[in-house]
Amino acid sequence: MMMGEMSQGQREMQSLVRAANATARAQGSMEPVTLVANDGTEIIIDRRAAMVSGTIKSMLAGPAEYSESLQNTIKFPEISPQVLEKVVQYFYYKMRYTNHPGHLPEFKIEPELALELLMAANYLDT
Amino acid sequence: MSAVPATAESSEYVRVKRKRQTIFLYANMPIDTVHDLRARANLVTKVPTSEMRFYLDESGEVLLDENKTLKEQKIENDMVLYMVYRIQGSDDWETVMIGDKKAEGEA
Repeated sequence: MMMGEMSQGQREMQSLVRAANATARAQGSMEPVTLVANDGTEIIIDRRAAMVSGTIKSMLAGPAEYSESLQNTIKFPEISPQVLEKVVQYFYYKMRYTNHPGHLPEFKIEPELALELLMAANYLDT
Repeated sequence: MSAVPATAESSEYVRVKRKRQTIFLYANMPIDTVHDLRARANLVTKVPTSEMRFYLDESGEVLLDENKTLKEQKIENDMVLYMVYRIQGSDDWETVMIGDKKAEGEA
């Protein structure tokens, strides 16, 4: 065996240790909320990101009259999967760069999505 | 509510896609390996970590390396990864499917 080369056993052991560490780190890292687009596509995101939207925030935080607050699943029958995904990318962008000092990277929007995105953002109070 | 502060480091993510599902998973690129992604995906999907794999490309040719960090594999914020599950009771894996169609254009 060459210097620095690992045996199969060592490599497996290292892999097991990494997996165990990963499980430990993953605990409590995300509280999933499912957003469903008009074609049934599901986008699963962290609750913190979903709360960027005022509309979703009130649905999730509201009293039990909103069934959404119990199931953590929200349907958007008027929003296409492309637009919904873009909106979610914006949630994460907003979360990351709010109170961020200095230069902000551009948030890219495809021109063909712009109008639909505007309407979705308005509805979602984002 | 959450103990994890929304710093730039902790709020990077990858988009993991399989069939009609996209999961936004937090990823700490310089530290995390594919094990971390599996563990986080498992918390959402409840699919055992041994039953899932991630590809870098939609054609399902480049598997994520088990022993490198995400950054070492040039994975950046907002990138898409393709997830497949093991076919139950076999050693075979699904082909990559996004939406309703298979990547190879099979019906």
